[in-house]
Amino acid sequence: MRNVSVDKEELRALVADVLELPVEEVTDDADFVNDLEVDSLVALEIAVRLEKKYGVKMTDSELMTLSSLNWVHQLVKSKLDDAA
Amino acid sequence: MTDMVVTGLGIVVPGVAKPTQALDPVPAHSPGWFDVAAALPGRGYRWLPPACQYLLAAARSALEDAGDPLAGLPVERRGVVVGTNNASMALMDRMDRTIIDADAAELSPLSAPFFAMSLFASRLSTEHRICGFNLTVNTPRTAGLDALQVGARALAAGRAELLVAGATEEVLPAGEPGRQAGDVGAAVLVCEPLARVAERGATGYGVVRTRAAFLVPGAAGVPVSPVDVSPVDVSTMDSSWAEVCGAESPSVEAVLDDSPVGAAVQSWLAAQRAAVTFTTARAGCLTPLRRLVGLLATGAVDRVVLTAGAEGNVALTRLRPCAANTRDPAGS
Repeated sequence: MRNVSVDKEELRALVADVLELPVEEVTDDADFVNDLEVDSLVALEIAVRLEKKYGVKMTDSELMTLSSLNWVHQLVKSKLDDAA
Repeated sequence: MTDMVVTGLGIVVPGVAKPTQALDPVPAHSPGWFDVAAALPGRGYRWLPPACQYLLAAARSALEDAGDPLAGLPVERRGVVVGTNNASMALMDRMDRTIIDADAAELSPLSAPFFAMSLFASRLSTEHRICGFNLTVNTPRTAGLDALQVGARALAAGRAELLVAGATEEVLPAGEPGRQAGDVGAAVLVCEPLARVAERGATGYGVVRTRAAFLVPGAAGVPVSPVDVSPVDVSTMDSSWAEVCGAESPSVEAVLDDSPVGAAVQSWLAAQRAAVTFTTARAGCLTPLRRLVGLLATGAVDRVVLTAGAEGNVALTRLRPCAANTRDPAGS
């Protein structure tokens, strides 16, 4: 079932699950690559899960610049707003 | 000379806490028998397919048991050979379901690479920096013992000085024949040439030598399907036995099924003078290697482990005591 809105805490839980981290470590501004050791495969996994949950598609350049929870939250929110 | 010394053992099988228990009957297991967080602490393991987790955990135990054999060994002098029959079947089944019921775009990127069955063993190279060679063997039933033979040839050719050899299997997906009694788990042996064992002052469980054979179902060497009940030509068993045992008649651990090939090998064994312990073969290639681990761990090292698959493949592994520095089985 696809969500039509994106709750930041739900998103934080999704990202933490993929990254195998406690939710508290996925802070709003922690850099995925430099702070949380996200590699390209993990970034792809996040993208696939976001698509399944929220129905939004990432472009290649968006995937390359996946930077923080806040950034992902803004991105998903704006894509959902565009679709509405 | 394709003998090699086994210096480390690792096993991850339901109901078996350590290699000395590997000969115990395998209990029925339930999902959740394997605690990945306990066996593989840290990140990067949770989303791996179970058969890869089992293999990594068993290899970790075996390398620790061998007394850190990687220390000081250049990465290109290390090799891996792993046997598997069923490691990716459950994953492929889940992937089929995702494509059929949803969309290929929903396939998990973290799991997708394991579509290639060779990736289960490849992950060992990433984990332990094993860069000499890495090979996956898939021969039905015999792949675990075959892995020892292939690896031993590579060591004898000087391609590496350390071999991580093993087998891993996962539960078959629902609906597959043999699902209730399939192999599940992993067994890993660390193997080294005798010279290196002596050089680093290590101790060995025993020496192993493996040979392959093929029994052609049907008369006059004409291959027929495994369901054919024509007599199986066992004449090559004598020469294969001689290659591993010479004139000796060690006791035999036989892992066989009730196919015409399995039955023919059983009859051939009955005609030999050796004592035989039979274990019913399960779907997969793990059971023969598990029996081998158990024999080595308990010091029962004057043995042959023999297995055969319905297609005609046979493998025999001769175990002998080490000449020197033998491990004390009681201390394992």
